[in-house]
Amino acid sequence: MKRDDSFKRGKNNIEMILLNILCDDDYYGYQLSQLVNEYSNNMISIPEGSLYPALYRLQENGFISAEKKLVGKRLERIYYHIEPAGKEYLETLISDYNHLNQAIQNILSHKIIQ
Amino acid sequence: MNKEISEFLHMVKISFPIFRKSEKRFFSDFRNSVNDYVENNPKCTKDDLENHFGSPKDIVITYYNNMDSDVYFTLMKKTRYIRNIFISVLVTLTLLVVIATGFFISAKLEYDKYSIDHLETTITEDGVSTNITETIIEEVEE
Repeated sequence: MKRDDSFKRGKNNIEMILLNILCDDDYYGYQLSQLVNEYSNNMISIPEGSLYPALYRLQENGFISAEKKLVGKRLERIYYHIEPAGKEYLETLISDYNHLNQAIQNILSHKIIQ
Repeated sequence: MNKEISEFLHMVKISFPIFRKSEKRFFSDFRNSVNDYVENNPKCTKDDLENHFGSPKDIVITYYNNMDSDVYFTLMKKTRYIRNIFISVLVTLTLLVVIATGFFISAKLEYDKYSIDHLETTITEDGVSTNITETIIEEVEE
């Protein structure tokens, strides 16, 4: 495994989490970070410095789209929507995650046996 | 937006070492997140904001940690290129100033070698014109 793969996996996990949440509905940035907290029972928190770069990457790759919506009189919010390509990408990410998880479990099991 | 929130956002903004289009985009979205947080927590203080979002420095560090490697390396190369150009210009200007100063001092020293021993003023009888003659008599002995 190349060294940078493990670094990218961290970013992939964030993208996986965000895409999964966006499968339910369209959300804006702050809402996404709140939902991650809520669904993980406050175990996982995605800081804005990680959240928005991940959303930008997903948008650039065509996995999600962004739409500005007027809230109230002046406030504009950017809502993110998952695209069909994003759903396919999500399946790939989940598959990779499960494989990695299994690999780690195998390593941990091996150590326990010894 | 109260003063503490404005101050917090200002600290985040100035924590960026550079502020290109991508940093502006992130800051705009980050500001919206702060506004949403404040909407849900109207009495929040600057400390509350830092506890929730992180310190301004941490926010910026996290942003750059999540930047694509290619973009990051390109940015670092550009930064190094600009820095090298700046240093070259600075060194060149310094050398020019030193050389110019050297010429000036040399000319001044040369000038100071001579002194005006006396002045002769000749006034013609018709009073129309005045001739003034400066006579440099001798070089000052060192």
